[in-house]
Amino acid sequence: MMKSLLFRLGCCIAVFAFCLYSYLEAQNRLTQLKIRIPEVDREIRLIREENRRLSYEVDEFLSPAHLIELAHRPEFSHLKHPLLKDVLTVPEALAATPAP
Amino acid sequence: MEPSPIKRLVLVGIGLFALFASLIAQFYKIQILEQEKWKQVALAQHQCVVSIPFQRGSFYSNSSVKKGHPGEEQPFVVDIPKFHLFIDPDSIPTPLKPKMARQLFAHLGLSLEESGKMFSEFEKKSRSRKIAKWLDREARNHIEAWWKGFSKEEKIAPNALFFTSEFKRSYPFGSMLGAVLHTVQEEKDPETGQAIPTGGLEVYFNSYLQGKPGKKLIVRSPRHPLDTGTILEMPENGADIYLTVNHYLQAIVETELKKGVEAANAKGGWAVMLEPYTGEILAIAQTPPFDPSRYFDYFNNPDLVEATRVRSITDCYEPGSIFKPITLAVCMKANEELQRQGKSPIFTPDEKVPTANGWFPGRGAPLKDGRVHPFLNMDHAIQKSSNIYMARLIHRLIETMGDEWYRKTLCETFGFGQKTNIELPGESVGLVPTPGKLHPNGRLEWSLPTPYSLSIGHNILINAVQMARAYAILANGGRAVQPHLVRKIVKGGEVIYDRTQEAPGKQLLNPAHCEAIVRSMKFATKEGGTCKRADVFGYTEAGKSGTAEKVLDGTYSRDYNISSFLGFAPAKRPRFVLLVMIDYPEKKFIPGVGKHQMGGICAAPVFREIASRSLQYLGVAPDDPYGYPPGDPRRDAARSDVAKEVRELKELYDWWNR
Repeated sequence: MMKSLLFRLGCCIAVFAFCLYSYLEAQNRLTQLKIRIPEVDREIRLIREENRRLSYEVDEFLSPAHLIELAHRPEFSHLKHPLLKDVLTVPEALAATPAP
Repeated sequence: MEPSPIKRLVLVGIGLFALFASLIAQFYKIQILEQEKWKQVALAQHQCVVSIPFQRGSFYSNSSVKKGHPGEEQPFVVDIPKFHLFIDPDSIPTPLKPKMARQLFAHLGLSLEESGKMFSEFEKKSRSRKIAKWLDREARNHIEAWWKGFSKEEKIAPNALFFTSEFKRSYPFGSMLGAVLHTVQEEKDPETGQAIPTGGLEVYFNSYLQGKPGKKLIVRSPRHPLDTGTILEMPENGADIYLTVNHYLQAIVETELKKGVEAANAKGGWAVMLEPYTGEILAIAQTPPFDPSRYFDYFNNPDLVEATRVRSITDCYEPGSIFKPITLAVCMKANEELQRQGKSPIFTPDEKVPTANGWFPGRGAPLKDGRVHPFLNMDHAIQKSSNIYMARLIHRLIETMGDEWYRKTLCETFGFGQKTNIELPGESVGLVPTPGKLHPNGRLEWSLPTPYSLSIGHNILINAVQMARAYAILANGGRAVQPHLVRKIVKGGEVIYDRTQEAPGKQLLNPAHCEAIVRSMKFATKEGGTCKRADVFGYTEAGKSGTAEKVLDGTYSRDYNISSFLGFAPAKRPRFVLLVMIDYPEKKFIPGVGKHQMGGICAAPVFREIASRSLQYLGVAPDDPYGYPPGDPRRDAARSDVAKEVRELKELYDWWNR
């Protein structure tokens, strides 16, 4: 009788301890994630900022005035703007249709 | 008798219990009853709400000028995050201030003089003093790396030095379209936190471009970084504005205009490129340009402040001979009106009009042409830019239709003397003289010789956009167009203003009349014309040059010219109308070429270069494949555009004027 009670009590304590441990573990993981949030947020912001800066620099480099200047160089003299009649435009719907 | 120890113990117990109970009661009062109050106090002590900057709306290029072949979105202005550096002087120990300042200023690259001035900020009793502004990320990282070690070594609170971020207007294409876009001041409105625009589109569309800052809750702690916290409200960015101006066409126009102004040794120049069917402004340039990133230099220098205006809309001038096709259109409209009334027309395009005598009623001196042409027809008149022919037609017009009808047609058909309603502040309406009205100097605006002056583009003030619009009406077959700069406005992904599908305007002129005038204008750029230098090789074009004397102190200046060329290409179904103005070109004679200051000499080549490059960029196939200069293997004088008609016109001229 006493053994059975002790066994059941032991089981209960073990389950409780396990649940408590799991809960604390989950809390710790959550805390760890919470600690990382500002770090990740900062990283994302830095990446966005860098992306914006690089796009700006690309735009600066590809500025039409610069491209016109480059077009005057002999090494690029063979490059021409295509005539509209030479440009084939495929409708988006047709392009998305898989080939038979 | 002393109380028994048990009784004493009970008394002490009761006392302790009472104290404990009062403590519990106090806890209850603070924690439960006054919870909200103390919560607010605690929050105020440990947390604060800071605003998150929003992005002001941007301006985008028109990437759909190549029909059926659109390009990528291209911003003219980008908001780049920049940083302001602050210190918290109260949390820096006084003995450490000189050392910290010395090292910080060295990182910022301040001179000795600047450092001396800036050190006073360290001595102020304040929690926040601005030390440097608009630093980039690299500079911030550099300072932060130094500060991390320094603050640890000297045991200074890490937040004694901090950064705040703000978006700065940045221009990837430099000064391109600067006067139209303008910019915003460095300092924002302290009350609203909104940017203060300096002019141009930034002012006109300020209410659309403005956003709303967000809110962020941060913990007030020396060790807590300021750039983390809970976002309470997301910032609302301003609306993006998609312009009709294409960045590549704009670059072509700016580059060629600059070259043209330098070649003409002129004071400046401006140019407008307009889509004749929709009224979209494809390019609007001026030299010298306005660089928005250095706006304070321009506004603080009287010599540069002129560049901050969009001269194509703020500066009115007498157009001169580029007005002659308008005179023809008015006379043809009168013909139509007279025919409707069952009367004979005032002229026919083929009529042999006597043009030797330049005397007209009310004029103190006769009108003159470049050389004497006894007889001319309409094609000759435009080709030779005859003043007398135009005045002769207007003389007949006034006799039949009257002054009022003439003035009304100029105003109502072509919109002279009225705003074009382009989306820019500061547009000048110009001046169309009114019969019976007096000038400020007391002289009549409209006197007996006024119509003859008007016929050749004198006694009328027009801005460049008004003039380009008038030619757009001729180029598109007589339909009204509304010049505009904005295609659409997008906020948060939603289109809140759309002008991408412009309906055709009201029919103002007879298409057959427009066709006849365009045909005449085609002769101006060919052999025998006054502006051969505007001939666009490989393409057809139509246009007219003009040279006006600027009015200075109420009189015409013989030395100060405004020279122009206004035309369109291709001549049939044109892709653009282009006006080039050269302000104060050098006055000289070039042997074998002519008077350098004439529009056909200094402005026409700029038109040719711009038109040629623009048509290539737009992918327009050459429609005059044999129209090349002598010496070019592609040239075939017999097969080039209007070659036969030019020969016939010359034969007729020679026959009439032997």
